[in-house]
Amino acid sequence: MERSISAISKNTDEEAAFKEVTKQIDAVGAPPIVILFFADYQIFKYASEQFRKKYPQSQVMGSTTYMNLVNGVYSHQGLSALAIYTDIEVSTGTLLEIDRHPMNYVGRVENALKELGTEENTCCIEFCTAFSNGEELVLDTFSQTLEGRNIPVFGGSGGVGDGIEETLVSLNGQVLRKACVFMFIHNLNGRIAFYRENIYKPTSHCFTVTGVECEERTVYEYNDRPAADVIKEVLDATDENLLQQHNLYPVGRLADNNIYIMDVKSINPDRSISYYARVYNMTRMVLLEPDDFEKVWKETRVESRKLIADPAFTLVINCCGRAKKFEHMGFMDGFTDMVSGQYGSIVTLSGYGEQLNDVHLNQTLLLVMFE
Amino acid sequence: MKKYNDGTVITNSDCIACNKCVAHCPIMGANVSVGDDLNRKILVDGRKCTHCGQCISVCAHHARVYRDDTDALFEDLRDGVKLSVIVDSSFFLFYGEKASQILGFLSSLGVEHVYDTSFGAEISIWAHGKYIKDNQDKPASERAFIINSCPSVVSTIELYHPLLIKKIIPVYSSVACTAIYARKYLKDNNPFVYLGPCLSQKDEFSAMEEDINVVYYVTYEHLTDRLKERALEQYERESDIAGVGIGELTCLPGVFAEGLSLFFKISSKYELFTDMSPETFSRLEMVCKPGYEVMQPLAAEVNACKSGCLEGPGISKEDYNAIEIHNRFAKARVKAYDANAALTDRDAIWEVVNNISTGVNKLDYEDFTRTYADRYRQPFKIPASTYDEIFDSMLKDTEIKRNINCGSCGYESCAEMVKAIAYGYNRRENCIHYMNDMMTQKYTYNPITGLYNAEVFHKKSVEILRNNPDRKYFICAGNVNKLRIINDIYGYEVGNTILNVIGTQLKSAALPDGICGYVGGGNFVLFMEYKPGTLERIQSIENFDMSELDIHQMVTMRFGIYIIEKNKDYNPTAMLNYAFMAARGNSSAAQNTFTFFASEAKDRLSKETEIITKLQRAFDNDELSIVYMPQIDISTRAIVGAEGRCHWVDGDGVFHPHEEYVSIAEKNGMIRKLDHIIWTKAFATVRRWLDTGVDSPQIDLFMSMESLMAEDTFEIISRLRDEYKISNHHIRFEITERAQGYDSKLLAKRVRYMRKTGFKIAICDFGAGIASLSTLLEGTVDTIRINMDIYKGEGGESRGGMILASIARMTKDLGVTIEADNVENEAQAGFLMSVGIPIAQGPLFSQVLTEHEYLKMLKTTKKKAVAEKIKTIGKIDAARFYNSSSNESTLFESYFGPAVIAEFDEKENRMDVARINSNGMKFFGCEGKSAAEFQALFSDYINGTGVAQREKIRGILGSDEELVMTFPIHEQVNFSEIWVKCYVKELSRTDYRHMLFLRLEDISSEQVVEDALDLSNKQMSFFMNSPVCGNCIIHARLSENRLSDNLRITMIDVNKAFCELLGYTKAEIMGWTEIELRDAIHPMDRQYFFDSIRSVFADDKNACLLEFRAQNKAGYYKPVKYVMASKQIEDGSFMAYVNLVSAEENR
Repeated sequence: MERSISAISKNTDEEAAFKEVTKQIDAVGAPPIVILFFADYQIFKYASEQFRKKYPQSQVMGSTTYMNLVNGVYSHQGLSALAIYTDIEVSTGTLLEIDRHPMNYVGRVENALKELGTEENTCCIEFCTAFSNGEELVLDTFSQTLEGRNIPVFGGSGGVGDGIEETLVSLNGQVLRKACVFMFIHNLNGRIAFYRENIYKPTSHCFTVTGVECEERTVYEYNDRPAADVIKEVLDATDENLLQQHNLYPVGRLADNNIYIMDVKSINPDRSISYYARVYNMTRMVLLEPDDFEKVWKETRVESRKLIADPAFTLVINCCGRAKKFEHMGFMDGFTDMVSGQYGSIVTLSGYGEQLNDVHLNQTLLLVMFE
Repeated sequence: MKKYNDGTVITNSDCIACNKCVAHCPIMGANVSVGDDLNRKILVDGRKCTHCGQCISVCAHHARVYRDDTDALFEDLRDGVKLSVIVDSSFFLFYGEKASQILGFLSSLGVEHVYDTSFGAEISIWAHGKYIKDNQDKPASERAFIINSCPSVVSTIELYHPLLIKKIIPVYSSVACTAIYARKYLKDNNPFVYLGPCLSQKDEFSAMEEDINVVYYVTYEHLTDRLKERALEQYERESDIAGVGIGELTCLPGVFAEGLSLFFKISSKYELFTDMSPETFSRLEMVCKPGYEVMQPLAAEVNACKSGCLEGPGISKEDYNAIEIHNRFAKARVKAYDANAALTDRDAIWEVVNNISTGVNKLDYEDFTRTYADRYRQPFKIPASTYDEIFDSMLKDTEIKRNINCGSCGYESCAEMVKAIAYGYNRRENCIHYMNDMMTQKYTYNPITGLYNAEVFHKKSVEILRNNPDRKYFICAGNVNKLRIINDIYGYEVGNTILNVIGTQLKSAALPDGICGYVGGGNFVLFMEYKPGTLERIQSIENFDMSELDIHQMVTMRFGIYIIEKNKDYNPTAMLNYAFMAARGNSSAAQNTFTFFASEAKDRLSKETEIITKLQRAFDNDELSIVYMPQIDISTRAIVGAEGRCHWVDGDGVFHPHEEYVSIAEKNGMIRKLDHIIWTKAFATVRRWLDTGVDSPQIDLFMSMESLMAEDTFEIISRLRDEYKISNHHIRFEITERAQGYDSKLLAKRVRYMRKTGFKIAICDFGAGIASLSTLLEGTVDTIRINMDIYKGEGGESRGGMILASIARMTKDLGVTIEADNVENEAQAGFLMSVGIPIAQGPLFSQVLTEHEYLKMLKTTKKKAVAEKIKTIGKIDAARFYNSSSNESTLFESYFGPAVIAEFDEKENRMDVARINSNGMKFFGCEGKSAAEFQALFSDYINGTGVAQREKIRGILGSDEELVMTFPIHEQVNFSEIWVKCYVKELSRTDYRHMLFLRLEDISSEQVVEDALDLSNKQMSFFMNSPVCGNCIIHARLSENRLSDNLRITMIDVNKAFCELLGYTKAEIMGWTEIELRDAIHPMDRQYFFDSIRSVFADDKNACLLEFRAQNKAGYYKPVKYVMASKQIEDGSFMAYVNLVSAEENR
């Protein structure tokens, strides 16, 4: 029996899409232990309920996504899933009210961890709803319990197609807003590793944040000047194309010898800039510019192989900002090729942010590989 | 900007950011530091503030204030709105009798009902009692115990202490219970006014049902301020309802709990907290935790204000009288308790109260219960890296510095301050220690390099020297080579980065025992012990690699090293100067150079300083005079002129030779003043001579390179000429060719410009500089003077003689006179005569003379007014140009511009190139071509397009005449057109073959100008002939002080229309005197006319338009319109073009 399979349907009809995907899941001949699924907003609720009905004994966790990408096939519509049949143990839970107080539900994390009963070769996979500025609070909540334990947290914020301003997550048929669903996965068969890919390189333009509203993820000032004016000047942009230019040249937060990319959400009338990730006052930021994508992907293939040469299955968390950029610049096929073939069964969440341990960041690719 | 100061509590302009509000506020983030370093304020974030009013109470600058609805209340009362007032029971204790008067006044304005909250307080006590009685059997974890007596506490718990939300007893406060009773039980539907001392009451009402409808929040302070000038004695009004027992006392802390305690066993535990300190909430939260619940009291009263509502932020401090208030309270207490003294059994008390509430007043408990909202927002966790980053940016780089915890920023600890900074609530500049450290750092270190600044470097080095008298030290001072060029190419930002990189490298070379500093510009200094290894550490730095900055050019420094002698008086400035002086001695673009300071240099510096001081004194004390070196016609021994030299004898009678001070004056910027003084003296002297009948021959005056290059020299000389009225032939300026570092083209340009003063220019020491021949070629000098030193020494007579002879021949051909200096004997004089150098000066003829001696010599010696240019009669041996070792050949090849030697065969009527120099080949774009190839091109030209030129040349064959021709050619690289000016002169002749010397000049740019001028002239001519518009061209000159004196106008040309307009003939107008011209303008318009013209002359970019009345020949004045544009010409006068039309006709 296969250990895992991934399935995709581009069908916009919810029933048909669900059937096409489950047909592939059922073909293995045994009920899966876990199903990780992603769907466009329109069919997400249906898929969630139906997965629960069809596989009541499985742990089914999912999120809306900007794009499905499975084994060389990608689509904005439809449904994709990764079903894992053997050699894992899991426990799950949810955090609610992530926009203001997920810590209220920290007991659920502790309980799930207790239920699993091991920390070895274990990671926490979580999907958050986007747009409520709650990802950092969720990570604070996880770190409250996981601090000092060797359990990494990988996750992604939900994604949706343009024009929809709500993302959803689901656990075992329960569709949630302003929530986080999580799953501790213990790989009975070997290691779990992750690789973070950055398609940007730093420029020589550095700024210090000198005016900020952390809760709103809004930067008012860089270097004691209105944030939008500073970025506009550096990018030689106009007011009209500043957002577009800043999307192409995002900023990165410099911390611990790392660059954590922050995607711009809006340029505000008061010349402040809102981002999709939290930024603190006095933080050093660097303006980034696109690197050579092909070169970066080559490096990703080589370096990730060094971590786990032949993963059984891989969760791909690819920022929708990147996906949009690849589509816009004609690199999507190249990216699809890169994540296909080498990583076992894959399934992709494409949303508004990525989470790695205690850091929420944007415009990043996370490959969570299971041996 | 973020939105602050838009809530109830706000900051006014008196804030000086003393941080007291921050220190007393229970909520981080409610106070936010904004502004810049010069103007900081602490504003209030209304979203976080719970309106406890602590900041208002503690602010010593009265900068924290609040908003209420007093103004709106009075406006609406004036508009006839019917209202009911819920008045806090503290109002009666606070104001006593005056309370009734104020309420009476409000009633007179339209307030219908007044409700004393003491009534609601008794309801609230009953409701709290009921909740506790109903729940007292539940475990502590499920039982609330915090009394809802202070809305600020409730808000604070809802927003910041979620653990306690379920611990607030879920019934309304006294004020809210009063409002509910009035609305629901008394059916009062008026909008409510809340009159009280509390700013947070609004928060509780906001959470209530809409039909309660409290619209106005009015404080005692603002209300009584409003009523200050009003007589209230005539008014009186009692409350419609009021408590009958303890209710009126609940505004004091602890009374509410005391009232509750009456219902329960004496052993029950009650707690009272009168602040919102972290300790208070910590205690409350502790008793909620498993294991500690046993400590939970039956009820806890928590108030934000220490003295309860009697000292709420909305009281009027002016009206506060503690004795009166507490007297009233004591009386009320006695009354309240005595009225119920009979009741001693606590169950009985409850029975009574409960019966009154439910039986008499028919109260429904549910009406007075409420829930609390969880408005908590989980704070972000700040990563350790961010803490570190902020601490580092605050210069807190040690654990001690990170734990100063002085609290001056308003926070409990440095860590809290960093947290506030990270959240954006505060800024590091509010940390006094950071500012101190910053100041120290700024004082100590240079911000570009991070090295000690000059002052600290001096201090530290002297300190080390004094503390270690037995050790030997050295100072190494270095200057970055070509820093200015680096800055020009890469910009100052990169330049500064380079300085930083250099500084880092030098500092590491100086460490651990040395010190390193930066003293501005590209100057670095190091101070180290002079022992084996230390100097080598610096010397091992060969250059500075900047490839990481993407600069692949080698950056080098020149270092000077000064070894400090032991046991000397230390003068750090002098030591640095010595080291820098040594550094100047050597530099290289390829590697760092290290030069040790030598004591001679020190002596030189001292001498220089002494001379500078003395020279300045010489200027001030008029110690400078002129002496004269006569210039002699060798053949006649007549005086043809004199070189005027500066003569300096100081106040002590010491004579200072030129060599001693001229170069120092040049180096230190004093040479121009020296020039000016000597020139002034010379002009004055010549004037004096002329006035006394001395027929002075020409005086040569030295002009320094600095003066030659200075923009105002022309003006200075012109002014001297005009002031002393000296003719051009009396003065000649001489410049020296020894000056280095000047571009020869620029030099020629300046000489040419200076010649416009009308004075001649001579070059002395000809041949000593680099620009000699090119200066000659530019044709800018009148005379060259050669020092006979070249004729002296071993072999000098032969080699020097040949050079002299060649130069003499060459200059004669070029029309430049030549003179010799320093002639010592008759042999030299004879030689000079033989090679055609007739004028000389030197010991053979005369020593330097004083004015008196010179005048005496003038009288006794024949004199010749001017040196005449000697014309060549003989021919030059052309064959010498073919001999590459001949002087002529060398001069032709190396020192001339484009030039050609050509042979014109008169018989064959053909012209061949005999020789062309490399500049000539370049000129024609024929570099790399052979002589034969060039000859072919030349033949094509001269026999084709150039036939006309050939014929012109033919016209001068056999004569001494110099032919000047201009014509276009095409150079051979891009085949672009070049306009050539060609000077042709015959060198020699053999039979019918003539050797010609052709000198070529590229005048393309001049030709373009000439073409443009030609076109302009044609256009001008067209305009001048316009039959419609009167046109004339005038020439005008202003007096020396320009625009303040009369204009002198001359008519140059007028057209027919102009003449017809004024009725004069052209001849009449052209013959106008200045007076006649003036008379042609109406007397009332003359001033205006001339003022306008002056303004046009002052601004040659714009034309002026004016209207005035002109007198025609018949004597009538007629209005005319006049447009004039002008251009200043070389001699400073103006040419103007004028259009004149009749204004009458235009109208």
